[in-house]
Amino acid sequence: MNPMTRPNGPQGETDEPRDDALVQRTLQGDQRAFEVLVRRYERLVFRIAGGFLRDRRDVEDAAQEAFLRAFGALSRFRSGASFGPWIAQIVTRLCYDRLRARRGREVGWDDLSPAEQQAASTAAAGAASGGGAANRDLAERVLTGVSPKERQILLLQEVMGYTAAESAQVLGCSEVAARIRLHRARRAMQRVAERLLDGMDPPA
Amino acid sequence: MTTCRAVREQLADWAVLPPEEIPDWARNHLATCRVCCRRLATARLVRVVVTACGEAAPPPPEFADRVVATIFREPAPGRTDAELWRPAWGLMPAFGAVVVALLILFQFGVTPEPTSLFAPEGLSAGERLVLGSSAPETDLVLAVVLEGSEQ
Repeated sequence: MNPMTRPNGPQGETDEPRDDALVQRTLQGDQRAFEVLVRRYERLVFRIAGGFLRDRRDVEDAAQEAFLRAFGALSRFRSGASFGPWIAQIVTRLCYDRLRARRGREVGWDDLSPAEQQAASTAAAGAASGGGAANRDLAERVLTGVSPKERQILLLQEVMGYTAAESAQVLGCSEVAARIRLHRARRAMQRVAERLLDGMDPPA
Repeated sequence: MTTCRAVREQLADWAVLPPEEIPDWARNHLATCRVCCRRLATARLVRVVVTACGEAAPPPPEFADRVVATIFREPAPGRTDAELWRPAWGLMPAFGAVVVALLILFQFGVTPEPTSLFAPEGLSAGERLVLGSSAPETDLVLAVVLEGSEQ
């Protein structure tokens, strides 16, 4: 299933109205039609925003702003298109701008909290991880070491499962550029993880 | 060396497995090769980071209602920006008239001659030359040069 049209395949063979029909109805003043669109894509938007931003309030703000922007630009929505890639593009750019405004820096082992160090040791040893907040905090620490651009492509392809073509569509670049960007991003994250683990005792 | 390469080729797959599911030959190699061991640890950490990023909390149940309410909210009572500017448009002809009047004044207006602070009577030619506010006449300049400080 195309991840951009999740969760309920709006362009598929369901009885539910198609995205472009909902957009037309919204433009004619049907408030309920836009509500259907929001409900259809809120999970996707939260998933993307949640991959970029750690703070729950930031995620909600970004998600809301994405829908507001989409509504403001609804007249430019192409007839026959799916709302999914469009809203994905809007929220991705929005989160990217927010990340760019913050200046990240690569963290070392000593910068991690004891819980994050524990999570990193467990992960490196391949032991069953408790998951949850410590892993999420650890992920955030590692990802501050990669650029927002690298984080963007990692999130789309590694986390969201987009293909290179879909990522290219969201990022507004060619498929080849998306592939190159992903390759660099993977290497960058690997470098950050390696340096982080350099501060830890080698796993047994 | 060949074993290192073979291990590296499968690191991504093994990164998601518990250690006991990694084949014995590879586990034996990992126990002695520090470099491969570190690579596997890195791959595992990266995997955890990626997985953790995908674990975003779902939207709150009232999210859609909030978005729709924000978008379709009734405009607040009171005058809009357009209404506030409307009276200013009525002043535009008057403003235009003032601009035209100023242009005419600067284009055709006569600038008054500057006047001297000193009365010319009782002054020598030299003093008149220096203190006079208008451009001196040629004769006066010649008189000053030829006659010196004549009263």
